[in-house]
Amino acid sequence: MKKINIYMSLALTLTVLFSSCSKEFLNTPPPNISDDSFYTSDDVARGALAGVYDPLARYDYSQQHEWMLGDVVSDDAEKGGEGPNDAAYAQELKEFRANSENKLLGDRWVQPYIGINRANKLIQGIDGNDNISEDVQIRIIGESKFLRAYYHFQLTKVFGRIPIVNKVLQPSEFTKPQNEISEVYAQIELDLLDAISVLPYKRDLAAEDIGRATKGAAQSMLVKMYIFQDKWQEAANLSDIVIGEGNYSLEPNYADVFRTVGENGVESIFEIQYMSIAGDSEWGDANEGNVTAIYQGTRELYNDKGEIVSGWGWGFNLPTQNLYDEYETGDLRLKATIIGDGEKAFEGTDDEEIIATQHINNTGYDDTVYHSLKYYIPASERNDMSDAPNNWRVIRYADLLLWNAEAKAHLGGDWKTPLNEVRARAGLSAVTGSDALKAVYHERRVELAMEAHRYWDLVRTGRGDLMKGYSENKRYLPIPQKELALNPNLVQNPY
Amino acid sequence: MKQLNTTLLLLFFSISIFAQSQYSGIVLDENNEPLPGVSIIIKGSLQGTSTDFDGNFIIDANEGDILEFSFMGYYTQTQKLSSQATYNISLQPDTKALDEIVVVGYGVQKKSDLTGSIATVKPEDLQNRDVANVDQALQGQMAGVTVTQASGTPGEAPSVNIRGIGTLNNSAPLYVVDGMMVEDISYLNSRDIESLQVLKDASASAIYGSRGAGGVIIVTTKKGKAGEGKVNFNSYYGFQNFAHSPELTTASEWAMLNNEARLAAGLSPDYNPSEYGVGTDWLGAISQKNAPIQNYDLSFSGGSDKSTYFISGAYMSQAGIIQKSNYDRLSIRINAEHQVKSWLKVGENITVSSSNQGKILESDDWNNLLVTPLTVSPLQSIYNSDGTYSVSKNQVNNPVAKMDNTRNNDNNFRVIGNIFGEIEFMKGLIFRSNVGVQYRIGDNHVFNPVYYVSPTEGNQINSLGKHQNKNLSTEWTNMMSYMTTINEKHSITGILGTSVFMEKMEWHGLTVTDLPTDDDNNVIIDNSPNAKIASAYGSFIEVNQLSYFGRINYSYNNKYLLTANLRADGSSKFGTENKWGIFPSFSTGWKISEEDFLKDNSVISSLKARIGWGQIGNQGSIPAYTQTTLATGGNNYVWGGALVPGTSFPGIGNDEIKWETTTTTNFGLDFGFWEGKLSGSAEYYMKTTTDMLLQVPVPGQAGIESAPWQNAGEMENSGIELGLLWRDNVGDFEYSIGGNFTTINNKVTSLGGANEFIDGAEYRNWGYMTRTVVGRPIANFYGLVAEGIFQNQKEIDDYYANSKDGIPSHIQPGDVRYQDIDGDGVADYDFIGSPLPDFTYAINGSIAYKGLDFNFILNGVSGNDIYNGTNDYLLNSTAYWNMSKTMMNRWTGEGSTNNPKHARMNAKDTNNSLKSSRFIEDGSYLRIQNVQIGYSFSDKVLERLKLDRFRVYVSGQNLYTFTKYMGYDPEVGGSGLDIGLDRGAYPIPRTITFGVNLGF
Repeated sequence: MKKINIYMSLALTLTVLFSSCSKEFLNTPPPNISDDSFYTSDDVARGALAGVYDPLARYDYSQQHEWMLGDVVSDDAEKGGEGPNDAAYAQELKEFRANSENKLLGDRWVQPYIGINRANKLIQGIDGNDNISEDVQIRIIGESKFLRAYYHFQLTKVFGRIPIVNKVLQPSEFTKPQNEISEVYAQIELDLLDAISVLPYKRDLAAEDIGRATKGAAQSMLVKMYIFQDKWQEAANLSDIVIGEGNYSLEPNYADVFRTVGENGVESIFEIQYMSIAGDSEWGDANEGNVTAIYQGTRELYNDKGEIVSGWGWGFNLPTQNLYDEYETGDLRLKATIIGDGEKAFEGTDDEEIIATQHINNTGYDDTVYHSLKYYIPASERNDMSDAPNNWRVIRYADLLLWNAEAKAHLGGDWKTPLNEVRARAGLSAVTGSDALKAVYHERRVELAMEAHRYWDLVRTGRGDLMKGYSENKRYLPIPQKELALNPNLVQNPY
Repeated sequence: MKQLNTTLLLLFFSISIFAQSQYSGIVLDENNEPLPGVSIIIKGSLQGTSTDFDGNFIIDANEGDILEFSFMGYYTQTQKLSSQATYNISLQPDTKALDEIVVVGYGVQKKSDLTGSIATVKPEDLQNRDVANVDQALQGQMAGVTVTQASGTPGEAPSVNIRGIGTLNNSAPLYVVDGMMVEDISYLNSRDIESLQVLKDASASAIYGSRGAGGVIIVTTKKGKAGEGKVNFNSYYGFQNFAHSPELTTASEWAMLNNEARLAAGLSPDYNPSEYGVGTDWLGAISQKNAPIQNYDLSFSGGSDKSTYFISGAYMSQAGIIQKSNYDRLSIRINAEHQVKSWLKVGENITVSSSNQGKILESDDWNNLLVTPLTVSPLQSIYNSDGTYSVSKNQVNNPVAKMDNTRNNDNNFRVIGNIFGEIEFMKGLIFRSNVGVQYRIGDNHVFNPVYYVSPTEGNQINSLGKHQNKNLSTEWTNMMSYMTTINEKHSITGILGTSVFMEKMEWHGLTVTDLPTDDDNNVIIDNSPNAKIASAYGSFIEVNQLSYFGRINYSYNNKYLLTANLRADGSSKFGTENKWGIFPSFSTGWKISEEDFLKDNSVISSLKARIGWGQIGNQGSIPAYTQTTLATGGNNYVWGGALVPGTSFPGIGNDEIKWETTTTTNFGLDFGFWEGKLSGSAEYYMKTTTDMLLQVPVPGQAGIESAPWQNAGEMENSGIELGLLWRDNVGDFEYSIGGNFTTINNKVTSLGGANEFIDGAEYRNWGYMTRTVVGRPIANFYGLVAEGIFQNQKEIDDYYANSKDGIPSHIQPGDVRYQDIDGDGVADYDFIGSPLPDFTYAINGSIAYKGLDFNFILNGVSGNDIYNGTNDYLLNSTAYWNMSKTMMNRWTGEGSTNNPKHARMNAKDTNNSLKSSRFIEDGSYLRIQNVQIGYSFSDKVLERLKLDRFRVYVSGQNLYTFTKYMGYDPEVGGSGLDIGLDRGAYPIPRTITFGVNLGF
């Protein structure tokens, strides 16, 4: 009996014992590093900065949105693809029949804010943080502000009035109302001015930092902001400064701008950086490659025997005849931009291939007979298709020269010099006409064709009616229904 | 501590101890033959034994104790012990419903004493089904238990839902096997199962606390019985084939439709339809006819009155009806129990199982191997004349090339074991301690060889992926139970216990590329030139849980029953101040038939009413560490042409996260009529989930990628469950017919805000297919309402009369007309269907005559909708892909059809394939789930062969399905908010098996 008594006491002890250690037992520390203890060194801050750049390259964002909005919706291109239902959301936008359930717009609202939140979080985390050396603090905060400005612009150019987010929001601030467009631009300008004051020149970038924002990128971005606000004087002054500083020049051969040789080259002001990782067959955001190439690649090719065989791409973003006709005779840019049925791409190289734009079944190519060559990558650089290495050219020097020309055209200044510099490279003689704006608009269209600028150029200069179905109330696109439901303070655009 | 200890000791020892002595005897049946395996329990205790092979028993008991002798199919008999030491007991057969012993949480109860809602499946009903997975055998067996086999891939386990969907997240039930909590039972061999119970309401499952919110399935495996050893061998071999596949157009039909589409779009036709015949049977090319399925299991059991054992080994193997998919499993089990001392019993249950699964690409939105064979052109041959893979002209990957180059294999190795010790301090007072460990290693091996079909199709650089996950969980439960009867009228059982549970999951993997060969023998990491710079990943999570629980069962005069539970759970998943949740439950029962006014009623043989209420916490939905804002890697960018590892904070932590609570109220009635010939039960329940764990979407401007977990939503489920069984015999002819019926009404009552919805089921580039809003069942399909077809231009003009953008140029007669409620010329989105059924039902029956036996089960679902995703291709107006045969009935002119499924052909269509009700189909079905005919050889034959049992049978699974659904299989599953969307899942095969059961 006594023995039993002992066992029993033991059993009861065991039963009650747990409570003493329970507090510790129920606190399992996470394997990931948490918020409070994160920014411990310069390297950590650098990694977090890469995280702020990361959304730039996302699949459901820059890789599709830029050209779907900038080219497909404009009069420069047709949607293309497998058929009318392939990415139907882009077709709806093109027909100006988009509604607030549009998938592209849903992503478009969310993705830039992810970048903004990451920028804010990083600024808050390292500003005055003793673990981070001061020069690193200054530069990273400057770059974060550049990106914050860039992301805000990506939002406001599509949606107009948007909520400005310039700090890490508390849950009570998640339903902040929209700001006026002028307020958004004011915030963007502030951030860019801060960035300009601290970022290095492109020439001073270390090799391993190529692709990071520079003073010139921030300046040029600010020029663009002035242009979008019709601030011609400010645009002219600042672009004069950038041109005068002499850090950029035009790539001698126009076609090279879009080849590997032109990447981060003399003409490059800001690019979204991509690389191909061998054997990485992951899709979209899971790799670091660009899917623009496979989206815009040709669906068919001619083989040696002249038979039509399967191509390598999905045939989206097909240049229109209207764009083709815009080129002057002898404009070298035409062949570097547009390719048609039976024509050779990369002629004379190992990558030579003959484009077929005949239909082989029943859809895809019936509406148009051209392909864009700018993001068409040669076979030797194609790796698992979804993972192309070519960078997205955000701002290049020719764009800046043409802004300079446009600003001066409005101000009555010397618009011809920058314009002619661009024309000369295209093998064209100096401009002869006297209609400055007409000349600038023409030059912008052909110089920057298929680079996702056309739609924005049309709507910011009041020429939206060149697009079928456009009216001024379509200037800003519908805010996603989901966002309206989540934030009752948002006011829908009159689309 | 000390004080408590003393108090408890005083309490327990206030009851005096008797001296025990040994009693023995023999139990005989109605023919005076000895009955082996009769269970003998000392009434009012948990102490007992069973008869050996010769019907003999020995038991330690006290004079005055009452022994209860029970055996399946016989009346239970009692014997009060006097000074006499030996007893001859004779049991009489019982034609009434058996009063089974039912396993409840941490104990057993007589079925007639239950107050909670518990359903039981007899082991023979499980074993009659020749299926790979025990869960599959549960289909249609019980009201309120919905089993959905979403994928027929060999080795794929079905999902089990008890009483509907309790939460937007994880509502899977908890499995308890021999006292061990496990996540699934795919490792179990169904022939090792002794009993299986489902605890449906909170009052029954509350004792398992937080992990039982989705209901609990308790499985007890077979134990050896004292007596001569027994050997059992069971085996079956069978063949599987496609039960149904969508009917497609032939090559010439498709060519004709394609021409029509081109003509409608102003293009010249491409084909001369009469040139083509039937065309290529792509599905046939990747499928395997008469795919074999086989199973062998051998078990040994027996023991002495001090020690019993059950040892089994089983091997099952199943080939897929699609090549490259297969499954095999080897499992062994050792169960034993030992009476070490008169007061100490110990035992162990150990299972080791190893399974292998070959997988193909399925349920993928784009290159799904169940979809590409349907959509690729029937005009295309599989190979070119030179033997290379042909390239499709409609950019569908060649299914044969894809299948040939699929090498994806999962290996799962599991060890699950527990040991327990039971100390009987005195009569009725037992302490039990159980330590269990389960360890699972899952290894996935994926190799993508180099192959070439076309520039967009194939693989230029081979890659090898090795992925491993390891899961170790440890559980230690200590429990004190006490059982007593006071004044023969008050019967009380109480338990008090603690449980500690630790789980650690760890995963890692890597991918290497560019191996010099595709030869399977050389596909190892070290052969890759980038072995040292492989892309690798890995992490772990750890979850701890601590629980205290107690229960009291009280019965007065065997008429009035009461159960009360209380459980406190602490979990590491919750916020600092919210670790603990306390969950009570109560239930009562009234055995009306024990009342004097019914006691001798000739019609009503048993009648019991039950009411229960209880609360359970749930944490299953949320991952670990949601309290904290965590950094995540992999948000990389490129600088200087090199990859720069980037980090970010995708979400924000919520340290206020706490338990989700499910409150259930249950009303039940159990009845038996005409001496149990008709028996059954009816139940009504209401289940409310509050503080539902939810990732409430946050506005985009917050910049948060992963919405924080919050206790936000509320949901209600209610339903009726009915089970009926008629069992009788006419001489030697025995038969039964039964069925069950279940309704589930689900409604979301809050999503944590006034004006919110949550979208789910993202599909291709259509966006989200389901939307969940307050006031509706979860995950309703959301899209345009296809109300008909524009028959003529006037209908189009009228439709767009008020449109500010005019008539779209592409709309022509024959196109789908979508509902426009406000008449503004813009089609309106609406809710277009619910994936949840109105009711589910099953009908089962059996016949036995002499050696012959026959049984069947039909299983049905009614009133649910399915979004048939594959019809995006098969009903497409462009005729770009192969088409459904039903498109032969397409619109061809005014009045030809107004069915929006059958719009006109048009190669440039942009209107007809929008996300709409056009692709919604009625998902109701009635399936002949299982039919089995067996023959058991007579005693004469058995005697000559020296066998106890010899039965042969033939069995059919999934023999036929009555349904209007056009896809492969109306049994479309899903989880969370992604339900009822048919992406083209592997269908469940039709299986015919031949089997044998042997025992000696």
